[in-house]
Amino acid sequence: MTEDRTDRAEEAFRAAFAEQADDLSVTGADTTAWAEAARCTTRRRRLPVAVAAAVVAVLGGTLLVVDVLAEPGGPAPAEAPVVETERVDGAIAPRDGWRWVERGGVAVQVPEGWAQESLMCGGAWTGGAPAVASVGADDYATLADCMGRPGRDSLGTDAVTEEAFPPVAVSLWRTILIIEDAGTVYDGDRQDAVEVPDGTYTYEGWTLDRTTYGGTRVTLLSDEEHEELATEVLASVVVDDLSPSGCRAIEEFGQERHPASETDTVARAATVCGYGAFPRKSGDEPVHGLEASRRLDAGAAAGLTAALRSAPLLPEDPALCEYRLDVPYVQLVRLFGDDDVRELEVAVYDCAVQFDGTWRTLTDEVASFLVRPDPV
Amino acid sequence: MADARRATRGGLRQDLSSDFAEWVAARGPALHRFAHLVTGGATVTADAADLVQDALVGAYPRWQELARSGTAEAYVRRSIVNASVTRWRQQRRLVAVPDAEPHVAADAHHPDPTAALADAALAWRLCADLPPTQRAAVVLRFYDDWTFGEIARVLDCTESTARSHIHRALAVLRTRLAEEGDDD
Repeated sequence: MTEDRTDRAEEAFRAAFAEQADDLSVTGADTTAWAEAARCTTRRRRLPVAVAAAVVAVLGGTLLVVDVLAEPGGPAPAEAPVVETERVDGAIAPRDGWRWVERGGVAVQVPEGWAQESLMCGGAWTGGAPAVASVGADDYATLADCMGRPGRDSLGTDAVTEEAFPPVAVSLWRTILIIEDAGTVYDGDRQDAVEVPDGTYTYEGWTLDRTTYGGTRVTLLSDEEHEELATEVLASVVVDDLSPSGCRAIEEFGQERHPASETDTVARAATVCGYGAFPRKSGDEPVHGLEASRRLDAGAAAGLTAALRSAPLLPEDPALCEYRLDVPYVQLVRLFGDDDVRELEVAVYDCAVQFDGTWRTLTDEVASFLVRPDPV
Repeated sequence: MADARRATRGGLRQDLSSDFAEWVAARGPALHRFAHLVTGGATVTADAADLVQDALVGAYPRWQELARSGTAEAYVRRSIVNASVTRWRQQRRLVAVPDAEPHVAADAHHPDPTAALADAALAWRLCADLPPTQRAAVVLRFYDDWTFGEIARVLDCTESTARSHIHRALAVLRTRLAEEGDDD
């Protein structure tokens, strides 16, 4: 992807358009007729074709035979998500029918229907519907079968493009958004891995966009069918220290907080923020970076509060806690009231949650409201 | 372009009809070329002219506000793009068959002797494959020389989306140009 190629591509477009359109002429009579027709305010509509009709069209130099039942004109597809900037009860709402996916200081909107998938052992590569995967540097992340080296025929491209695309058969690819710690190493025992710089890579109708924002990387693999949707997803990326859902990108645990108590009024909404040790280098103190978030409406916030009220006090000498491996190991609950925000730390590794100035046992009922980023 | 755009702004005149007619006379040819390129150059039943006329029919009732705000050009072009999207959806079931006599001047089977013309032919073929909004973004950028902000107003999207459309189209064309070079 050299600059020479970039100029050449731009010049190619310019030359193509000039060749196609420069000599097109419209007479004064034509424009007069257009203006007159518009002023008549008679909205001229194409007659819907109620039966199949064969229409010969010439498009791009290829003769096309059209056999179609024409649909009446409809609205153009929506473009990029309209990103609301005003926080309501601590959060910025995503577009209708979309949801936020958050990691580190990066948030992306995806359609609600995009399922959450795990990249562990190549489970996500099914050639199915569009999906989302969130990956941490400490996850056992592999793009392919855990049983061995990935098996995919060479794409016949350069080494970087070869490395950029999933190392599984093309038939198993799917449109997928991957948001991950920038330090994630796939198939970590490979010594011959080629570094893939940020950019756009293409292969036979597939496009892979890769962008790193500080400690978080966003990769979107998309097919032609989801080309426009992919553009909308990529255009929704937000980078901020406070995520749209209301989570801080980096959180310090064990600090003084404004805690929720028995006498508080019910929160209007809540956000549960799940953190992992992100990023972490050998010898450094762990920094807790945002892994995922979960938004609770007023009803769910009330359910969580009720569950906290009924959670027993944590024993002074608790029995060995069965550490929950299915959720981020530290979480922060932020309850948004009319005038304030109250916060509760959840020490999943100790099976403990703060409430009313005390530590309570993390019951199954309370845990049901926590962040659970990976699919069951 | 700047002069033409200034012609669309300015104070409201009492005679909206005259103002509208003058604007159509001034901008009509450019709008027609835009519609022609956005629809991939289809010429059956003068589709490009139809799109322009339909867009103008929609603009006239709003002309007072469009003229005052200076957004007539963006509004009409957006209408053309929206209509081309509808047309594109209808044609998704098209079945391509070989054409013994290709319409465009640059033919893939008989490439022009100069590399630039061959590149242009490749770019035009790529445009036929692009989704209509992406095609519109590319036309606005590389034929009309509009800024990303101006393109975003036409496509009713964010500037970052407009940039993304251009970026992705260029990426695909670069790949195809490279493949053509490898085949040489």
